[in-house]
Amino acid sequence: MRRKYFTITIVILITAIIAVVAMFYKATMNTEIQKKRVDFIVKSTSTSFDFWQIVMSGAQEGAHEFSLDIKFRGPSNEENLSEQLSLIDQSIAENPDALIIAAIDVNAVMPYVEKAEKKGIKVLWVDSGRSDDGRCFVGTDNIAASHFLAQKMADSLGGRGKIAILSHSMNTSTAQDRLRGFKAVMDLYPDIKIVDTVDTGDSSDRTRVKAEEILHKYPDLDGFFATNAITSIGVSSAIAKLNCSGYVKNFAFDAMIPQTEAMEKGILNGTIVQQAFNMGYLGVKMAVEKINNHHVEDAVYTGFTYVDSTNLKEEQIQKQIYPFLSK
Amino acid sequence: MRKKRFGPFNIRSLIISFFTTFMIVVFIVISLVFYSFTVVNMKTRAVNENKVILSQMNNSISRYLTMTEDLFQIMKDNYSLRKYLRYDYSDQEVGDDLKAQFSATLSSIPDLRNDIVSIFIFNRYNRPVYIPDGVSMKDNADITKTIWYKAAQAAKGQSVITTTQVRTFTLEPNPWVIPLSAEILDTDGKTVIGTILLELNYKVIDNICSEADIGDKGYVFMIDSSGNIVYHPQLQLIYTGLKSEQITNIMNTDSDTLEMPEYNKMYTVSRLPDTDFTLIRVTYIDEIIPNLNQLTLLYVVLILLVALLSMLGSTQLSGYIVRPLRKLDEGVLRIEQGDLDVRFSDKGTVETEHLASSLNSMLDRINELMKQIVNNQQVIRQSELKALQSQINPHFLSNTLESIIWIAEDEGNERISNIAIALANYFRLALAGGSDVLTIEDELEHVRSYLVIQKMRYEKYLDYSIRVADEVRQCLTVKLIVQPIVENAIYHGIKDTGRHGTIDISARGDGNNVIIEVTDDGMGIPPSVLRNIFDPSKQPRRRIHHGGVGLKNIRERIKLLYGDEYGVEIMSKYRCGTTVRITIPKRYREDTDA
Repeated sequence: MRRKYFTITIVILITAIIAVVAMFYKATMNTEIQKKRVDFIVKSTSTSFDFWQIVMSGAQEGAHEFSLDIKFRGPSNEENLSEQLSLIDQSIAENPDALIIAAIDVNAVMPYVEKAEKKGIKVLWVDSGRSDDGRCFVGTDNIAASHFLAQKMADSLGGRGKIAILSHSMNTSTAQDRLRGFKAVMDLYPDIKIVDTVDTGDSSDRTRVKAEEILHKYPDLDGFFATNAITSIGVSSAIAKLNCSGYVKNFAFDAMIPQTEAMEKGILNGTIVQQAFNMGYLGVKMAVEKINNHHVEDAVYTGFTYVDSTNLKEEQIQKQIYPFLSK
Repeated sequence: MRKKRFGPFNIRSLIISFFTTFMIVVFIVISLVFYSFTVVNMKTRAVNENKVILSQMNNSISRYLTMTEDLFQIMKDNYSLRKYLRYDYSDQEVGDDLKAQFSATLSSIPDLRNDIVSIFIFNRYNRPVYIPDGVSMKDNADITKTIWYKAAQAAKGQSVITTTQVRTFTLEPNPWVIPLSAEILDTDGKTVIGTILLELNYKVIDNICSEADIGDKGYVFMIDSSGNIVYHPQLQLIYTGLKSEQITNIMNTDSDTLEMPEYNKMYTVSRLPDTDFTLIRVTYIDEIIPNLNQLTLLYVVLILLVALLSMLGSTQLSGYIVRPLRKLDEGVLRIEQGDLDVRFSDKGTVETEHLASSLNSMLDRINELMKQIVNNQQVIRQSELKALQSQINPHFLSNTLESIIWIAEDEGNERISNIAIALANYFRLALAGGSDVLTIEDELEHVRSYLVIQKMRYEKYLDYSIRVADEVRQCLTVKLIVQPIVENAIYHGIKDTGRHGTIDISARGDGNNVIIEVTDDGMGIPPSVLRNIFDPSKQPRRRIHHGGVGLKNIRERIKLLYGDEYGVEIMSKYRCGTTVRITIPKRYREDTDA
């Protein structure tokens, strides 16, 4: 009887030890061998537009820090929805651990997102997507940023005037949010009139042409709002060409080098600087959290800074405008 | 009041629990000592490694800076440049030759050394005198607001390196560079005739640092005297505020190591000689110190293993101790129950072997003593008998009886002669010395003599018969065992009835045994007496006065000689008669040496 109990104890102990050792090895093996794979779908891989290059270098930095394999995919420009959809499909077929998407059109992308999630791929939004669906959105709080910018513009106009909006593709959530935030503030000023809102897609040239048209149509126009770098560059060239800087207030998003040069020349009056590098970096960081099944917030806002001629030369602003891309 | 004691415990559980606990405690203590030793050791090693790395970087960077400053000096001292600046030929044709001369020299330098991004020369009015090909100044550029310009102004002719910054006074490109700048002074050492700016590629420091950084954990960054980060592997994350370093703490410490457990960082600080730069190597504390969780898990597993092994070991050990003890215990228990033939195994530990052999020799001694006691008893009995025999001088008695027989025959009295002959026979056997055994024939002849005598006395009342099977006639029996029984039969059986009685004596073989039976048809024995017939103390007094040799004595003599399975049985029916049966082994004279 006694012997039996003793044998049982020994057997239980041995089993426990084997289990613990197995767990121990599994735990150490997992961290050492399995490298996670993350696919990053951007809106454009065009090298002429720095924004996505900076996002990607931020993501690269994150992938390096968290030891991930990362693969970037993106269409030739921000208008090419069908190319982006087929790239997402390619990524899903390769079964990464996580898929980070900057959606050209959220509604069009959604079926692919659901398909990916059915395969167990974690999906996150960066820059463009939904901040209310629990998937984790990493990017600028565009509503808040456009509120801020609209307020600055209204102040500079003295609360009255005609303005025109030149937007990048309105299918994308960034354009929608920025327009909604901007208009919400302008609605508070009865004397400010938005005379035109134009979707010029992903082309500075097209925007320039459109802006020139508007300036001819409304010679008494008081201001432009351009929703991103591409449109802002177009608007600035139009203003420079028609030599009406100072008369037409020019507000925009982003601070790419042509924009800062425009600001130095007084063509661009105020802009919102986004943290593109942080978007890439934090997108990857959040993807890691999600892969490890940790809790993530619905929205991780990367912050924004308002820049105008008064603070353009400040060191802190310079650091944000001129991306430091050493690698 | 004493505390209540638990127990007693058995040796096995005592050994197992004590041994196991002891091993675990010892292991835990060793683990803790080892762990703390490891932690201290690892930290020291990390710090030493960092110091080696930093001093190598220091050397590389110093060498590089010296080289660069030498080059810088050569540029500053360029004769045509100085002449051009001194007389400020900026917009005059006279200076064109001079400008062509120094431009050729300067423009070749970035091609020779790829660590130099570009060179700018400005005149005393801060207008560009020399700018690299492909670069154009912004229209509204004002270099007096740049950090490097202010630093050069403050250095008064000394060359100065300022923190990493972006060049913004030109149109695109706007690279991040490390500026090396100086005012160009006239021969009087006071008058400023221009400013020179040499832009160093940020990657140079990156390369130097990553080349010298042979450590696999941690990284290096560099700050200037005002705490600005000059170099950092994740500079962009620092700039955008996602990462930070504890620069204020580093600046405030005098020691060359700074541990910040709340940030999981350990800083090793090394100041670059002759510059205002400081190199700092960062190591993550949790990377230096072996992972506590993993280590704990490992230790738990090891403790379980140790516990298991020590349990197995102590079980085995206690087995060695307990098993012989248990055998001894079992043996002693059997001795307690009366088995003296137990012998203890002499296998076990030295102690138990010793105990076992002691017990064995003790048992041997006890057995020897027992045998001796039995022998002594026999000797005593025999000497008692011999003493009895010697009281009657057999020769004297024999001669007397011979005389009586002789007188009786002479007188013609046949009856006296017969009784005297019987008596002579009776005594001849009874008093014959020597052997305790004799043939059944002789024994029954002795009984017959006795009955002849008794028949004379109780002529009318007594009849007897003696039957001996021929096969047992020569068998041996214990001397004088039948006569006392016959005597009992007469005195207690027949005499008490007061009427005629018959005594029947028979001897026959039964297998390997001889059975002698004495049967009478007298009174018989009451059951109450029969029950304790062999225990004289429980018998009524009158029963033992006669003859002196009771049934018990007969039985003991038989058992003593032949063993326990032999002896005397009494079957009696009250008022009907008694049969006494003696059972002895069938033995002949040749078989025995007695």
